[in-house]
Amino acid sequence: MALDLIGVEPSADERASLCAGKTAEQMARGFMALPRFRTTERRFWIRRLGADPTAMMAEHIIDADRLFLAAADGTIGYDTLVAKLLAHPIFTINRPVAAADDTSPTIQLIFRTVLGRAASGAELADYANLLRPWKRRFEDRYDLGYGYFVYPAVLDPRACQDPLLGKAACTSVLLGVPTSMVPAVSPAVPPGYSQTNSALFYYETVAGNVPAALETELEKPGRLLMARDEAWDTAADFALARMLGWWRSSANEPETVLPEVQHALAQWFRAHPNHDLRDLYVTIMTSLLYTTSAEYDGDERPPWTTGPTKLLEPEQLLDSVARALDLDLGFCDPHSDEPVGRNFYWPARLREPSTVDGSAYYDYAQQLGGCIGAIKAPRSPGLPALLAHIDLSRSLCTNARAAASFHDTADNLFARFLSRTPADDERTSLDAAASACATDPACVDAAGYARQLCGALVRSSSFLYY
Amino acid sequence: MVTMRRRDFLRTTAASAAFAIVGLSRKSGRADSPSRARRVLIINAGGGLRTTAAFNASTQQRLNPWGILGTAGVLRLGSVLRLSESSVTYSASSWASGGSVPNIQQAAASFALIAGADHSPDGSARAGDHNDDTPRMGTGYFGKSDAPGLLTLINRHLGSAAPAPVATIGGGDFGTAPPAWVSDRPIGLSYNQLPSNPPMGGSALVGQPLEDALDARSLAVHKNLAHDAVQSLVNTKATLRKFGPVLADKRLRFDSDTYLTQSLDGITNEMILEAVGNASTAPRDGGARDVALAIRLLQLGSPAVSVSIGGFDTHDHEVEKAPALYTRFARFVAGVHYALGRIPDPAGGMLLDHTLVVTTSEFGRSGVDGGFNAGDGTDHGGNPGWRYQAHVAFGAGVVPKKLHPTDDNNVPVDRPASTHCLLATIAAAVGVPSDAIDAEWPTGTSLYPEGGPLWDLWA
Repeated sequence: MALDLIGVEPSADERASLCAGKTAEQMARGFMALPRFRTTERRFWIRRLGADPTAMMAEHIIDADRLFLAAADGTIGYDTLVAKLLAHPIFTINRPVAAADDTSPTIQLIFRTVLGRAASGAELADYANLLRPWKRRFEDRYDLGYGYFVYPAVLDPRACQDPLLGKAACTSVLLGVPTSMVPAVSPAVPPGYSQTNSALFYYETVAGNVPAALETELEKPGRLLMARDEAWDTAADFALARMLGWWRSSANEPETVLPEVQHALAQWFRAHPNHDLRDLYVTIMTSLLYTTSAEYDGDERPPWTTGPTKLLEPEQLLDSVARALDLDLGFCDPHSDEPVGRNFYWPARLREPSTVDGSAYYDYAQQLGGCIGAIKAPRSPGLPALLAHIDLSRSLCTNARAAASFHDTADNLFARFLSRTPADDERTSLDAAASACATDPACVDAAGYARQLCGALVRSSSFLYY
Repeated sequence: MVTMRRRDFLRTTAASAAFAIVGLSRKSGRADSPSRARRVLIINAGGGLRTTAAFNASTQQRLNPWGILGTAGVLRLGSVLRLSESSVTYSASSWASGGSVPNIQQAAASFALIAGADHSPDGSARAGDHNDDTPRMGTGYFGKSDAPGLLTLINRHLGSAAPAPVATIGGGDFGTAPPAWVSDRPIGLSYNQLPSNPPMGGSALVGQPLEDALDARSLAVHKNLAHDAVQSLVNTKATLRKFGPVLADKRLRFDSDTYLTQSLDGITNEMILEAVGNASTAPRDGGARDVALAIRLLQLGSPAVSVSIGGFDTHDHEVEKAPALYTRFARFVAGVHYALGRIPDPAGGMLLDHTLVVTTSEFGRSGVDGGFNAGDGTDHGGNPGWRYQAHVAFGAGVVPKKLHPTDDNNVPVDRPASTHCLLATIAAAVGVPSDAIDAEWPTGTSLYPEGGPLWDLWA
């Protein structure tokens, strides 16, 4: 639960204060009250939307953080989150550079994210009307610290004034109640640039402070989609997938085909006051699907009769190792994989101050496939990742501390890495290893034993899968 | 209350057992063909190589502004392939025969050419960008999330028995490994990122037994697909332990002059570097060093290696970039031909006798009036110069011939070869079972209209 909600193994204090004697709901709400829940949620949504700083001005990407954090705080519900995201450049101009003005990739991203499916040809054309006012420009903002031209979002005040179609040019008729999105804006241009178009309304001039009337108009597409049952099914779906680890199925046939569960959860969430995402998570995390142990003896059972098993994400892995060894490895910016100091598309001023010198965290995470925003696929446990695990265990486990005895050392490291004590069969192996330590030049004593056990834990499937 | 899914229903019924038995025993309609090669080397040009100016040179300026170098065997070579001779070396002084390494014109006389290949021979529109065509080149598909890369497939079937790992060097999607293939993902290597010591993890007496115990418990308590995932990780660890000593072998080290004298069967690291055109006296060329690493891996017993040379996405300044870029690539190809032809194969003959070498790229580049766009480069997407690629093939008994020829506009005269056919041919040539190949690239589809591999290469 801690890994899912705060992205790291719980500390001893957290185990004592948030877990011991608590119900599943109390635990979940306790973890969600921690600051790390906000940053974990933010990272999740950044990856889900996959905005690329090389195709969208970084200001727009970081501006969307306030929406993710508002949802994490419960300030806005899921429906409002979707409406605001679909009224924001993070969605409306989110497409590869190569797509230029073709909004098809943007619409497909919106449909996949909000409705959980691809848009049909007719829907593409229909929803394109709602995006018609949005344009992506390609202009310099060197004074803001960028190294290249960037892609700011604009609204074209003339977009819905087609002499023949009129308002119909900005109207959707296929997705529910006919909906027109006709933002009443006057040109507004950031001063001091030579390439700006004085006929356009630049979103950056109001980002974070969009006038209420304009925001209401811009949110119409999101409100339209959220009126569809499938949008709520998708909300249930992504939360189920995230918390239950449906990755266990083949990619071709996601294991989310639990129609009764999915639909009941969706219906409940839709009817739930405020549509607070945290309540959705609590409902899943207190369910038998989530709380049943994944570990059991005996024959195979249908997947949904066992609890979830998931692969640690690179950041979860690094943060957990750092916490287990009382190290500060730093962190990486979830928005961009651009190295610190390069300042091409992600200016230094938008970064959170680093807590450590160097780029060890970023370097390790890159080897594992992490620290990537949403641009690349997550790692899989292949050979390159294993080499990184070995490298990681070799360099970081020098910090593993020995306790008063081999036994205590094992208990301490098991608690820190796995949040449990060794099982009987593991205890047998630990005792055998402790006996062999003196004759192993790489072990020798309790300190060496701590290093070896730490390395084994970091590389083990017990740690990598949770 | 949850609904039991069809798959799980099948899993738990007697009917499913019968179905599974039928499914498992189903074989391809075609019998396995004898292997043509013991190993394969793919030399990939990352970014989009303009084959109309290189190995299938057009006389049209819009497709080939540098002109024709000449004909070599069945290949018509573009001048750009030797336009920057100062960026490579030819000396072969450390080889017993001395002298120099033959240039691309001399080497190409024994090459075959698949002149017009298409990722989507159904004529469908393609986005023509790297993120869709790189997977098409590596896996045969775009947007098929369970499609393995060619080398992943080869690794599954040939990797476990090999003395050296199947490897990808540089970019490309030949090592793509969806969830069901993670344990078959080939290792990704780079000439300057090899371990100095075998990456074995913990110590043999303490660290490894502890890790094994942790994994054993994890395996024991997980079932179903979770068990499979853990098992694949455990398998991969075993692979790493197996190949750790190979990866730390100094004969794979081309990152320092310290290892120039490292030798296997009389072939030193320096000889391989000379073969690929980057003699130790020349400035270090990372691409050449990666190619050298690939050659040595093959010599050590790897069944398949892909090496990707980047930089071909020349949307601008191609005028300046292309001469060195293409000259180096051609030199690498000629160098591979030279080296493999002189390195003994442990099973007899020379490596070239049993090694299939194929060049690839995700696409060609669009023709444009005058030869270049406004930025002195070329783009991709839109016309035959981009869509139809030429693939060079040689070694392993491949007969010098041209298949699927194109006209001077780069349009296939008859029909293009399909990428699926090319990938299936490579897999079949090295001995991947035909039913496994058919499972990934079934014949008779719009993406693979041919009836089977391109055995004409050997006919």
